[in-house]
Amino acid sequence: MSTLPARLPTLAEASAAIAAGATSPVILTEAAIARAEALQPTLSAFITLAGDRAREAARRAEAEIAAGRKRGPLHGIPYALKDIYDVAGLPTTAHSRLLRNNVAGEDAETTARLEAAGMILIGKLATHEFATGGPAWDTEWPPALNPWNLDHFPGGSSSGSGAAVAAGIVPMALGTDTSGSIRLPAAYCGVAGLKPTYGRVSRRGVVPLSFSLDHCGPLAATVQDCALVMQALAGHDPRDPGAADQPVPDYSATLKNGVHGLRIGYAKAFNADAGVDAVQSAALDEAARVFERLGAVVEEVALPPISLFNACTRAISHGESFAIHQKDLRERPELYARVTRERLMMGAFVSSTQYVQAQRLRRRLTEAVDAVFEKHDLLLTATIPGAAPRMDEMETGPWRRNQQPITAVFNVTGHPALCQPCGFSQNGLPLSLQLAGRNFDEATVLQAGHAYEQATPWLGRRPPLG
Amino acid sequence: MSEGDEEDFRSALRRAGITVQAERYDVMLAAYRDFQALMACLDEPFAYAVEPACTLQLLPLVAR
Repeated sequence: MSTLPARLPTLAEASAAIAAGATSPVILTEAAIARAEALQPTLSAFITLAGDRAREAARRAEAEIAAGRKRGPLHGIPYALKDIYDVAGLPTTAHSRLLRNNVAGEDAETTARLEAAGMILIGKLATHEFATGGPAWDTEWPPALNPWNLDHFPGGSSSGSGAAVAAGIVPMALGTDTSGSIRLPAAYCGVAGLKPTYGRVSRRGVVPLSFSLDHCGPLAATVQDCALVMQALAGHDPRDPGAADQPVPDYSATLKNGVHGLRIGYAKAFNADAGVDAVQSAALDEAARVFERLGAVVEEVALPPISLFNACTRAISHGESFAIHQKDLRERPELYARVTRERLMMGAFVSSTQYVQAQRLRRRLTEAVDAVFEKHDLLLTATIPGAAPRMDEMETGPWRRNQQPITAVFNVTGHPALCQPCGFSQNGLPLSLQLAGRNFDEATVLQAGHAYEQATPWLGRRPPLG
Repeated sequence: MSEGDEEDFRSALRRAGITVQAERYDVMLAAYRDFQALMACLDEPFAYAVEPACTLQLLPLVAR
């Protein structure tokens, strides 16, 4: 590979090409920067491009690898961060005028782990302001757009992460997920996105939205790439009070073990309760049949009504985010985009009783999902009803009546959940399935996701960007 | 909703010390009503001993 590639290869492909001497960190980084700059006027995926920093890191990585000091499979490969992750010396804006001049003093734990693995940061990505609200035009930076169709929403809040990975600018970007903000942009942009178990990946150095619902994790071109990145990200951080001290398995060792003998619970009725239509339901039925053909046992299972999960999520997320933003909402509300301001203000309506009752309900809902996992290794659901809506059809008021994600279920319970493409809508936009697993069993989730990815043609479909 | 829900809405804003723009008042009030309707399921009584999630799981302090 001697010329700049139009799209970056997957992380696994890039790693193999570096190992074979067919490409280099400098070539890959220059390609990523060139593609990011070329697509920025179209996609608005980035808040900050850190080209000089990236070039210096790429030269350093190239020298280390040439000297026989390769750190591992991620060494020398470009990536990007949602702009709520701290990187020492770079701005963390959270896509907000409130943090326009906020320069991080130290790396987030996740940033530090990827840097230690030798990855090359090329920039910070667009998000919904403070990882909440929705696409807004009254902020300092425009919202990211969907590479599959620029008239459509890329999902959020990790909107730039989904757009950059789908557009082939970087093979992997980190997002955060409070009720689906990794998995929804992954779904709408047709890539893989993993919300790990609560406590599996450190949140330290990441702008919080809702302490007990926030998760950090990757969006990547493939499930295999998610596994490679998780190997670097997972692990206890004693400085994150929500971190769990659990052993981290070798994700790549089991990735190709297939699904033979695994028991998968298919929440078909739950999907219908959530508003999944016939086209999407047919795609999920077909996904269930693919798993059966691969040797899994698929059985329909019941879950509590989605309205209970929604009530639980809203009471907790609104209450916790309001605690963070109340002072600014009082003193300088004009600096927020309108949609952000109004959605954050909803927290003023959560009573202390509602918050505690929601946490009590949360334990019951978690026990109900755990009961499914006593008999099943995995749970199959939709991600969100329908494909990406048009930008001009997005709800931008304080209360979202439609477009309720199914993803929030696993923010409430904390279980790991992966989204990946499972087909296309009638207007050519990606559809997505969601696979959840037992706590700290990301390995089985990734293993099943990889088996499905290898057995289906969706990976070969790319956005029509060139 | 009850007759007094608009007063509850205004009280919540007052207590929180935040202000809704006049032109967005009706939209926020409608959102408040939708939110309280969704929260109705939390009125279901729990047994006394039903613990909330996210209670403390304390570990011994280890010297660094």
